Amino acid sequence: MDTFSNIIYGFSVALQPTNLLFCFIGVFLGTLIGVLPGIGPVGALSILLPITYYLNPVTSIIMMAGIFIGTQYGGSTTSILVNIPGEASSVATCFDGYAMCRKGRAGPALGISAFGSFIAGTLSVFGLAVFSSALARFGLRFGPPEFFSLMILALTMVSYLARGSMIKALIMAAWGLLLSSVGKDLVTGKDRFVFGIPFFLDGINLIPILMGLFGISEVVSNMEVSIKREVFVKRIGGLFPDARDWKDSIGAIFRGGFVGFFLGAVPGVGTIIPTFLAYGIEKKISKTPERFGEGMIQGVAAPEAANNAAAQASFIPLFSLGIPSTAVMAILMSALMIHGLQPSPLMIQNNPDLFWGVVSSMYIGNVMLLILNLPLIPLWVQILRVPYSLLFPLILIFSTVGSYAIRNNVGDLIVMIAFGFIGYLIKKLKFEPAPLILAFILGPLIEVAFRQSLTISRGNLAIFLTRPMSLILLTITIILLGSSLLFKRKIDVIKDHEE
Amino acid sequence: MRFPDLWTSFFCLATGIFVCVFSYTNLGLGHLYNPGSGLFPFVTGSVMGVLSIFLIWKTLFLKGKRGENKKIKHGYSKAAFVMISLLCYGLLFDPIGFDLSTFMLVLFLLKISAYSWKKAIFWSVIIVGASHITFQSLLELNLPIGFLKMLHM
Repeated sequence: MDTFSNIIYGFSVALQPTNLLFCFIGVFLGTLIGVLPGIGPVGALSILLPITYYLNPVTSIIMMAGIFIGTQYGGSTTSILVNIPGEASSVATCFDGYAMCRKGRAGPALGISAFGSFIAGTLSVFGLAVFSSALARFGLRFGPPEFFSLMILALTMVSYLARGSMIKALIMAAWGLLLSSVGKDLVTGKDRFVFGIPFFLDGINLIPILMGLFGISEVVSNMEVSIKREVFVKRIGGLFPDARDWKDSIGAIFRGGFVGFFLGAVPGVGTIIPTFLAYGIEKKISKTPERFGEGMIQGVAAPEAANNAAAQASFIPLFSLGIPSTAVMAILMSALMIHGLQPSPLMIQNNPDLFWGVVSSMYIGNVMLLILNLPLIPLWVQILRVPYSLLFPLILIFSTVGSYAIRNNVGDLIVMIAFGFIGYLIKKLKFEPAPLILAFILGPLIEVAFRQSLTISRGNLAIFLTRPMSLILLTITIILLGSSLLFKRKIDVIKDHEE
Repeated sequence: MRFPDLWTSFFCLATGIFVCVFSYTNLGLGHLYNPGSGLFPFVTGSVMGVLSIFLIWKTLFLKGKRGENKKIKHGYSKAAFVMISLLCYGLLFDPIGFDLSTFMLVLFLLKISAYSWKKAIFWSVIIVGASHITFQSLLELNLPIGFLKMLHM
């Protein structure tokens, strides 16, 4: 089947009533989460992950993808109306979005953010369909040494692009690998790091770790700061941008979408960096750069297009190679694994309903978000007025029930609370939790690829250097490691700006 | 704790050494052509050890943002209260049941958020009631009922 026929097939899957319903639930929840500061997409997806137990894999991934793209839309609403980004990827939108709001142009700002996200999101869906299949065909040539090198590169990239010290990020990745080795070794049957505690025999479950590191720790950190939300506007009118607004922003939407798509597909980049880059490009090419920050519509259109395009492009490494490129993708990967599906280059071939169904549902999700976002803005404004002190007990209850319900075991609850404390502590010490999660998920795969490579080569470590693709991947890894030691990473500048 | 990075690195170094020793002595490294259970943790522990040493060296000898190490923002009493209350919640969850333990947790959390007793009790009852309906009645999750089990007999 060619790409066009596959997309048609995908629509036939995505338009099934159940999938359509869960796509709607996903984008609605995602927008709600994006609107509410204090809980990000990673925390929200971790908390909602146990729901996927009750759904089939296609429906659950459609819902989770909907949540993810919904958060990108929702985050812009708070950036524009309150000057508080619902998501880190909406920070760049604050600069000109809030300024437009203060000038009484909240409507066009919200409108262009919704239309810009829709246009970029739609183009990305088609890009995702084309690039994922091509990359997956390429990935079929990979053997264990190539996969080992690729996963090591992915971990290095995520650490390289992490906030702050790369050494700290690598230490976190090492912790993730160690934690993943707890439990019974499936090859030899030996217990590893169990210390006589039966609870650890099956290894540590991912969900309590995720909920603790991203959900609980976020709530606890937010307890230290008072989240005050003062909504600037009382009534928002004229959501449709006029001809001049369109003329000013259409180029920015395409440029932002392009930057977002190609950067979002790179492991570790995520959605934050492309938004700043897209904003920077617009400022650079503008004839009036000094007016950025005072309410330029391009300053809203470009980052919004970039964050949506990047969000969808980040699915490419997961679907085509089985490598999660961000913490959100790691959660999606674990949702697939819960259902016994192992993401790999063969996934598109073996599970076409999953891949093409999810791709098509993302397009449908974009349409839903466009329909949902504009008329529901008054509702989001009302939700913004709910005090955080009432929200956080609800987040804690959801996390608790989610952790306990996995195996009806209080042990999982204790693990979640422990990781909540660890997550809080590592944030204080300026460590990043994302490399730990990625390493925890990739750990067993890395170990299997490592062992298989050594077995194939009869114990010759040179196998990682004699296979050309593996050599290329390891060379990039070494260059990244070396450059981070020798030069100050440019990425730090963006991250500092974000803070 | 003047240099949190230093203490963290020492902790990671100790963990790395422990993992290496444990993997070597208890799990066995095997051979390169037939890797044992301990080989992968051994390599990971070694990497963690090397990275920790590098972080110690960087913290002690490298010029840079030492200010980052000196200050950790204070004002975490509320956060500590939440963590302690969550730990108690985890321990009481099974013996006294979901409803009662959740009511106590929410009441405590709302009280530390400066709610009056009246409002805190009101919202706790609402939140616990909604949670009970959602999780136990609608989703039919098997949550512990603790000593209230007696009433069900």
